[in-house]
Parts: sequence; structure tokens; C-alpha cells
Amino acid sequence: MLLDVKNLSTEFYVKRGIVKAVNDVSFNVDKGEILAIVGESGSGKSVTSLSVMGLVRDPGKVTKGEILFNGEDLKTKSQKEMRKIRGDKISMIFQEPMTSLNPVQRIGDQLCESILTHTDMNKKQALERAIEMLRVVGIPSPEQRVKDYPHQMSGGMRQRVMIAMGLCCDPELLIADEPTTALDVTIQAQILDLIKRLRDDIGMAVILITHDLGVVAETADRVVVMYCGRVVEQADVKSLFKKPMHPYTKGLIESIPRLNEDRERLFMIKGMVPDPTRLPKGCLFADRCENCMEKCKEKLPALTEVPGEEGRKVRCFLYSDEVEADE
Amino acid sequence: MVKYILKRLLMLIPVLIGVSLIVFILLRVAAPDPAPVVLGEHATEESMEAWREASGLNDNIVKQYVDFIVNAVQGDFGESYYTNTSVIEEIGARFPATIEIAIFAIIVASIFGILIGVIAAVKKNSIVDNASMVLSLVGVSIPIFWLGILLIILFTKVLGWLPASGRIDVTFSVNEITGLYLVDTLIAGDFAAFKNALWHLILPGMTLALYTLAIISRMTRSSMLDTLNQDYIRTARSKGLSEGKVIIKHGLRNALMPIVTVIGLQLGSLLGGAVLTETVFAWPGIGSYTVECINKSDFPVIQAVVLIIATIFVFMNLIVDIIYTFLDPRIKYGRKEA
Repeated sequence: MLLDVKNLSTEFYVKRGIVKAVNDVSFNVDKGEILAIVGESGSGKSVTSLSVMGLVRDPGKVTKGEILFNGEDLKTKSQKEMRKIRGDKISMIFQEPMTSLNPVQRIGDQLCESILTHTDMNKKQALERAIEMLRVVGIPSPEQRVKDYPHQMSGGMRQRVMIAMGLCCDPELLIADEPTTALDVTIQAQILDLIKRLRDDIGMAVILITHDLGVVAETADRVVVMYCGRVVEQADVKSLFKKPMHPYTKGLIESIPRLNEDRERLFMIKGMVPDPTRLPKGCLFADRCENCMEKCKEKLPALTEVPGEEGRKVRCFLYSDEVEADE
Repeated sequence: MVKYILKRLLMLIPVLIGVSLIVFILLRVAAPDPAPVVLGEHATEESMEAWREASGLNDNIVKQYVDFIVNAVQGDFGESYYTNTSVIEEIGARFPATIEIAIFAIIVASIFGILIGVIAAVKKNSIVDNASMVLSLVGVSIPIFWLGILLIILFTKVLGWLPASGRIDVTFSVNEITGLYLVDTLIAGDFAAFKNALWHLILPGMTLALYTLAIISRMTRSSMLDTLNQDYIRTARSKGLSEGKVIIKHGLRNALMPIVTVIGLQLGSLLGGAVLTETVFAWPGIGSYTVECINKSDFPVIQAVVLIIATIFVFMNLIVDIIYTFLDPRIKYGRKEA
């Protein structure tokens, strides 16, 4: 087990109250595995990844839980110790390739910065490594490209640079936060292929954060579905798409457009995500759920194992009567 | 780039023509008649008329202006009505004092302004932030002459640490090469004189710096706050860089543009002479001299000074624009806008 997150909670203290962006979330990632975390905007998936990186900034705070990486709890590490892990053992690529690179620094310098921070290489070796990484991510004539500034590159190229930056110290875990959202579809496929290929080649684990189930189906091994800061379903990718259990997951899968079905309108999950400062009592999805029962509005179901399916969990009274303990 | 600079320098011509025209007309329309001031209150009407005739003030205003421009282009701005020395010499004797104090003030203001601004931005909403912002509010609001007098009372009268007026004690003789006493005394190797000149510079320099410091620190703070919220700062942190590197290399480096702009414009106005500071500390610079000449309707001096100040401003703006290209690779001049 490479990463084992147990009962993680991250809260934001804002004027209107406390936002529990991540609430009692547990998941794990094995070496060489691609885990997708899926959810709508505001479901807490990005905050989960920032919590793992130790990059939650004021007014946010990781309040509970353990983040075991190779058996060591990252939560107990000092900032200095975390800096040694960030960018080296765990690295992260972000949603916005257009703004995630420093506009006044050359691509090569930005790559070298990571390498020089985490290795004993000298500048020349670091630059060679940077060029090599750019070649790995498929940037043509990298020897010239290292001298470019970000504004001289397209969005897809910049995202490749971000990935190269994340990979240049051979991380054991790559967290990719919506790596393809800002890119057009052809580039998207290339980037996902690249991530998969790198996983196969160097055996790193990947946490893929996305709201796009198409991306999940294509790339991931296992899936965690989040809603309002909580995990509602967890399964391997095949069983999830074959037989989604939680009504929210069903809704998500239903709303993917399909070419082979003759439908006038796309399916839509009715209603809105509740206000994070005033979460409803009971099941968080109750208001939008087609299978809503009386008790769903009273009590929050627990995340329970599905009998007969290893590693599969779901949080819904349709499958188990168990009530969440901390409510 | 060279082409761009030349183009900008050519722009100086219409600016100077416009400025000189305005000053020229204003002086002749609105300023008091210099003749009685120059010749004294007991001068006869005839002698005054003769003086006006000799100074060309009786000519048609268009002819006066053309004469002025023709001479000015040849570097001749005329003579002061009072000393009969050339205006260039008069200004040349006072300008180094202003340059010295302006550069001292801008260095102090930039170093501390940026430092305070960065700390305030990083420790946003902390006591440090609030204290420094109150300080900078005081800095912009406090009347300079009042602050100058307070400093004189404290450091000269009460503590006796620093001299209150002049550029250097009369016991020292400075061999003027650049006219900047700090430089000249160093060239001469006279460290006692250097120290004395520096001591004289501190009070007026600090007084002058305070306002600029306040503006720079506010600008730095807001620019840094904006920059520190950018995505690439998060990227820098995710690389495992130390917080210092994140703030300076990725934060401040990107926040510099507006700060440099403010510094450039402030330096421009400081070089134009700091009237109040120079007056309070009896600093023999261009600012107090200009005011003196305005009071005496010394037209040639006023015209020349205004043109010099306008030129300085144009150059400061140009320099700031050139610095932009070094700060931000996205800015390139002389090409069609991308």
C-alpha cells in the first residue's frame, strides 16, 4: 500500500461558517495503480489532493485523520520534511496549464528548479534531465523548447511541461487534478495516454481527479465517488460502470451523452449541490435522489462494504441500514 | 528595440514644445511684472521700460517665444534677471544637490518599501501587516515640512546626533567633479568629509523618502497579494521549494512591474526638486531655487527648470518601459502587438 488515507477531514473557516470540504474520507492507492476521484465541483476532490500534499492554505485546515504514505503519517511531518516529499516522492499537476507555470521564467529553469531542489545534480545535469523529461512527455525539439517562456507554448504543450515537471524526480505518486479539463479533446486523449504509459513504464501510482466519467472509464483502475465532501461509493472501474449502486453514481453515468441511444434530451440529476455551510440533515444526496426514503432525510447512511464484492463500498440505505457513527 | 527608443525620444519634441508653450504663456500672462522686482521699488518708470525693452519683454509674444526656442535649441536659456549668470550655470550649480538627495531617498524608499510591502502581503491581516499599513498611511498623509521640523527637533536639538541644514560643514572643502558630495569626497579619498556629507544627507533624505516609501510599500503589498494568489505560486509550492524561494523568486519577481512603475515615476518627481524638504533643511537644490525664482519672476530660470523636469519625466517613463522588457518576457517593443 503506497498511500492510505484514513478518516481525513479538512475544514475551511470562512465568515459564513465552517465548510467541511472533506469529511471523514478514506481511500488507498497501491503502487502502480490509477485511482480516480470523481465528483462535481465543490465535492471536495481537489481539497482532498491538496490535503495529501500538505498544501491546504488558510483559512483551511486538515482537522482529522491520517495520511499514511509508505507507512508514515504525512500529517505529523514538519513543513521542512513535507517540502522534501513534495515534488520528489509525491508530485502534483494542476487543472490550469495556462496559469500554472511562472510566466517570467523559462521552461527549462522551471523544470531544473525541481530537479535541483531534490537531487544532487549540477545545473548542466539538471538541464539534461529536463530535456530528457520533455522528450518523454512528447515535446518536439526539447533542446530548443527549454529556452521558451510559457506564453510561447500552447495549452497542451504547457500541460505536458507540467507533467514533465511532476515527473522529473521520479515520483512514487502523481496527483493529477483535472489534468485535461482545460484542453481540447484530441490533446486530452494524448495526455491521458501519456499518464497511462508513464504509469506502465516507471510504475508510479496516480490519483486522477476529475469530473469526467469518460476520462475515468478510459484511464482508471479504481474509482472513488465523492459528494459534498464525503465518499459515497468506491469500486473498481469495471463494476462501477457495469453496475453503479449509489443513486448519485447512477445519475452521473446516466448523464454521459451516448451516440448509440436515441434520446432527445440528456439525463440530468435534478436540483443543486447543497450550500456547503448549511449541509442538510441525513443523507446529503436525499433532496436530489429518486429513491429517497423517509429515513434518508433523518439519518446519514454509513459507507459499508458490499457483500460479495471485494473492495466495493457504498453509502446508501438501499443496500444497508447501517447509520454513520459520527452523526 | 533601438527603433522603439528612437521613436520615444522623438516624442520628446512635441512634449517639450507643448510644455514650453504653456509655461511661456502662463508666465507672461499671469506672473507679476519682473521689472519692479529686479530694479527695486524706487526705480523710475523710464528705467523699468528700458529694462523691459532690453530684456525683450516688450516684443510681440510670438517673437519672444520663437527667440526663446531658437536659443534654447542651441543650449542657451538666457541669463537670470538677478545674477546675470547663465541659467544653465545657475541650475548646474544646484542640480547635483537635488540628484544626490533624490537618489538617496529613492534607494531608502525602495529597499524598505519593498521589504515592508512583501512582509505585509505574506503576513496578511497580521499585526505586522496592519502596523505597516498604518505607518504607510501616516507616511502619505503627514505634511513633509512638519515631519522635517519634528525630526530636526529630535535629532538635532534634543539628541544632537545629526546636522539640520546644508550639505556639508563649511570646514570641509569639496573638489566638485560630479557635484554629488558623497561621490566627490570618495574620489578625493576624504573619508571625514564623506561622513560629514552623509550625516547631512540623512535627515532631509529620510524626510523625503517617507512619502515615497509609503507609496512603494502599499503598491508592493497589493501587487504581492495578487501574485501570491496565482496558480504558479501553488505550482512552486508543490515542487517543494522553500517558502522564501516561493515568495521572492516566483512571487516578488512577478509582482515587480507596478512597483518599478511607481519607483520610476517617484524618482522623476523627486528629481524635479523637493521644495518643502529643501526649504526646511536649507538644502541648496533645484526645488527651493525654483520657488525662489518664481517669487522673483525670474522667467528664464523658470522656463529652463520646467523644461528640464519635463524631460526627466519623459526619460523616466522610457526607462521604466525598457525595464519592463527585462521583467516580463511577454513584453516586446517594436513589433506588432501579438
